[in-house]
Amino acid sequence: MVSIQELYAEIEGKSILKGLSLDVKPGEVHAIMGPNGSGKSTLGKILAGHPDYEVTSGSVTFDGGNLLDMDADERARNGVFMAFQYPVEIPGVNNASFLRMSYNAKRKHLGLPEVDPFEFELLLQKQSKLLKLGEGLLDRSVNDGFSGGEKKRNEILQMMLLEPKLVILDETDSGLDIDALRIVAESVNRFKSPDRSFLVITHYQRLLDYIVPDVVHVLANGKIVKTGDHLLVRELEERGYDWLTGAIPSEVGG
Amino acid sequence: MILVSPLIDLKSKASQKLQQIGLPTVAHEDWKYVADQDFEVIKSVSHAVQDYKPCSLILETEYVVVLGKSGIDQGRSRLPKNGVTVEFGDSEVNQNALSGLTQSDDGMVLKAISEMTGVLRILVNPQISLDQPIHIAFDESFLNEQWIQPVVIIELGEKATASVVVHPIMVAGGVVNGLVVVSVADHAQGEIVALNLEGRSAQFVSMSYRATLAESSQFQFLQASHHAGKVRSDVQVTFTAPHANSVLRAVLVLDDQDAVHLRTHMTHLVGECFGRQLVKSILNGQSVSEFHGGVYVAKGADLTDSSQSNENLLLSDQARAISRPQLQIHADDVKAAHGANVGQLDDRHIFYLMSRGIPRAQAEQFLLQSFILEALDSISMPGVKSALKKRLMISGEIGE
Repeated sequence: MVSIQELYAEIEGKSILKGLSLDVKPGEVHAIMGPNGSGKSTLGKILAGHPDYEVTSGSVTFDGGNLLDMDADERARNGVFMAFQYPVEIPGVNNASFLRMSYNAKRKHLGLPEVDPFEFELLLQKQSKLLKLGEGLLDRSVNDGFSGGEKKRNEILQMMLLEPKLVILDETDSGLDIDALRIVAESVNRFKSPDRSFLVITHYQRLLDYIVPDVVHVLANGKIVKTGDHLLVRELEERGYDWLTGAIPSEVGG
Repeated sequence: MILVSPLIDLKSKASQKLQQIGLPTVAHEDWKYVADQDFEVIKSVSHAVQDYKPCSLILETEYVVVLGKSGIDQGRSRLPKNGVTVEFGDSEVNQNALSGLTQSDDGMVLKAISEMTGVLRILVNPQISLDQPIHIAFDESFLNEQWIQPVVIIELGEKATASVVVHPIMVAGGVVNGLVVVSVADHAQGEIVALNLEGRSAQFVSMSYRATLAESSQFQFLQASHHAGKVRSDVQVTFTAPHANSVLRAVLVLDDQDAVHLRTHMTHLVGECFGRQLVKSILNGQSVSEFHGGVYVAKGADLTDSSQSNENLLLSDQARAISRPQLQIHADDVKAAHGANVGQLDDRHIFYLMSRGIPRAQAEQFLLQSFILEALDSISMPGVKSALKKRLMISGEIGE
């Protein structure tokens, strides 16, 4: 699905990723964990095509093509989706209109006819109910005045509409209460399929209790320093990251 | 047409005042961005008048008053049959209605009053609720005039409801100096949409709106400017009794040498009223928008809630937005706010839309359209709303 090889990237001259390599096969769920500032969110943004980050060397192959050659919109239409940690608020832009435009852009890319507002509204209502997202949020401006949990659910709604091949969840658990976390996680789990892959970026175990990863990576100082199965999550929860990053090992657990 | 007392006296005073304050020129700070030519010297224009077709905005079921130099063109007008009086003349009633403006220090208003040859008066009787808007359109007889100074009085009786669309006057090289005086009685609801379209063939277009609101009345105003030319709009609302509500909006989509000077002002003489001013500009080419927003809250006008906002998007390096929101508050318990911003499209917004598969050009256009959509959606008249959306949102100025 996606193969990242020796990726180096920087922002405003500051090096963030320093030789990161990662392979994600179709249907796999990979968790990316690591301390603050290790480059987790940067990895997600680079895959999504954020223009502020510059890839200085390395390669990213997605579905057999060179992902780095594509603009953000092209990546999205080809199946890359990132649920942002801090979804931007866009006052004045109607959420439902935005979702329909996005949905139709994808359909156009697939050679399918665009859906009209009525048809789309029915689809939207169905998906919103699954996420317990109030219909009022669809008529408001994109993320404008949404609570933290509503923003995250709006991101997951977009994921469900766009049916991407590669889903990047960037700290989707932050700002969610227990019930919202369960709803979001259940939606993601329903969305799993043999031809869809997930990169779940998180600090904590709690999201991964619901979305069980096949592979867990620890990112530190811009590169992956340890890879394991889902049991590594528990170990990290008990021991922290210091034992992997060269600092003094945690006294907890072990 | 002969003016009779008290207008004779008014005309004399107005002329004196006009001589004293003069027409706006480049020497006036407030006008320097729009008044870059001498209005008194009418230059000839080499280009043809834009083909403005008001019919495209008027639905067949809607009312139309077609006004020419000599009065209402009855043959082309469609007037409401019951509960509404539409007349043209200089009756004493009209004179009294206008005499209240003698306190105004605005040269253009005084000039319009003192030189008028008649008044179009639309009176909506109490309790009458018009199911269709009234369009005020101007015929071709003004085309080659040098000064066109229509004066319109709109009066809404108690609990009356009406929407009025003021169409532009097509003129080749002349100056338009219009005045619209609106009186909204207790519990009445009035809406005005001022179309400031295809004004580039005019030397200068000045429109003044004066609205007076009574108790629990509502007044909505929207100005739409596109291919505007040199424009000055002055919209003033006075709250004279509590629980009145007014929202003034403007959508300016400007390009080339368009220059729009917009003044909106709300005067709260009594408390417990609600006022909003929202002006949005999209500026391309060498266009200029200049916003002067004012909120005046008189002593004792407590529990007033009034605010103003001016947002400008610059699409070119040479476009300019000047913004001067101001509050003057003399009461103690007041909720008031003002704000202005000038900028370009937010890169974060563009990236977010692109990250969902929307191509950059489409994302930018969508953001621009959304920027003005809120104001356009406030229009209650489906025909005008639809036509304006089509015109302003699918135009070259905003990215297509």
